[in-house]
Amino acid sequence: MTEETNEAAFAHSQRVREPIWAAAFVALGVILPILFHLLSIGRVFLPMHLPVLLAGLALSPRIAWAVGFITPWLSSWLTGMPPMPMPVMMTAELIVLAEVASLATAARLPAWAGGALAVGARCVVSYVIVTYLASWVGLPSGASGIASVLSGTPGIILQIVAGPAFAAGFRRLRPVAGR
Amino acid sequence: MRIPPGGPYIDTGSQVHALDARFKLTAALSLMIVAIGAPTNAAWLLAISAALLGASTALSRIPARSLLFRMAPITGLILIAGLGILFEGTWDRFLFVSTKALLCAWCGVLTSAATPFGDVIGAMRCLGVPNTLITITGLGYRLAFVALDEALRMMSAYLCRVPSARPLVRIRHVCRLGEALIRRVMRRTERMEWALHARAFDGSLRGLPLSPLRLRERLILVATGGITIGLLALAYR
Repeated sequence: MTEETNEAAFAHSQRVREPIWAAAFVALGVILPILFHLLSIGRVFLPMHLPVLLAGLALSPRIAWAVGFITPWLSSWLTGMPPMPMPVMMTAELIVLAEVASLATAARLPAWAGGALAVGARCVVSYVIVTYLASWVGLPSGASGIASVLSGTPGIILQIVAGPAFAAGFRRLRPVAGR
Repeated sequence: MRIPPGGPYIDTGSQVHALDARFKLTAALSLMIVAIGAPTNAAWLLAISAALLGASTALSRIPARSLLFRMAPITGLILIAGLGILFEGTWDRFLFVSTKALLCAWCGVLTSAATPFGDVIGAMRCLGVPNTLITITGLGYRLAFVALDEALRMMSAYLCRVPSARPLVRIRHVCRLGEALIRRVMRRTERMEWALHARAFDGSLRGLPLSPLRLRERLILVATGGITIGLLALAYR
């Protein structure tokens, strides 16, 4: 009986807490790119991706995808960046990034493995989308896909290094029983 | 790239501002679909889209300077990205793709300048968007301004102390600033969480519902959808 009550209290607490923290990650996803773009290093460091990856490592899969979904649209609404057709593409990338990281954490993989897996999955999605778009506008599709992934290499390294480091600090946000 | 103080909404009390948010969002989406979906041989479709946007901008009475100020960095980015097409494609292709992207960006900037964010949240509720998404969007919008305030203060302090630095040093500094920003926002969020708990927050934001669509607005909405499909069908015929 006590265990059931604890479970219910835990579920309620998570239902209340997670949207607030998800909103914090969304806000960071909007503001970090401004900080990076002020010094013209935004494109290669993929600053919007880092908070979304952190959200994936810190929040449950039920909420993590929402961070990936909302961030590019809210950023586009508030700052005009990414310009309008881009949020469609970025939504797919960021949902995959957040959800894979969250599912990996739920499967009790180490944070570095979950982060690397999520970043890898995001790169695959990015490659597929850019390849398709490039063939639609008449560009060499394979080369464009590889270029789009490689141009973000510093950002990928930053995510793989910084993501797990920050994730340890956020672990208390997701106190899964038994962990 | 910046957030205008007080958000992107510019109130001029025009007819465009008075329209229902659901209609504005649907119309913007339709226009973007038409612009993106226009085939290469249908430049007239882009011309119609540009004319519609121009008319809406004029009717909205939003100062051109404000719109241009917001469009300037986006335009630069689109043109730079479009230049990539010139390596493999033709000038026609470059102009066509850039025009499409610019029309979509213009439409996005105009919609955000003419629609208060509260109405967007209301429209999301009416359209049946899950409550979790609405709550995160609403809280995220509020928190973005808190985070922006922190970021601007940190940037001012940094630029006063280090007005110029070598690129690699600057990158290291910005990464550190980013780390500090994440920590500060986390602390602010923790305080906000306690405040929301104290106010018996149950995980969903409450809000006033939008009034039902009037007959005129419903008719315009249906007509907009019909025109979108009709134009695309005509272009692909």
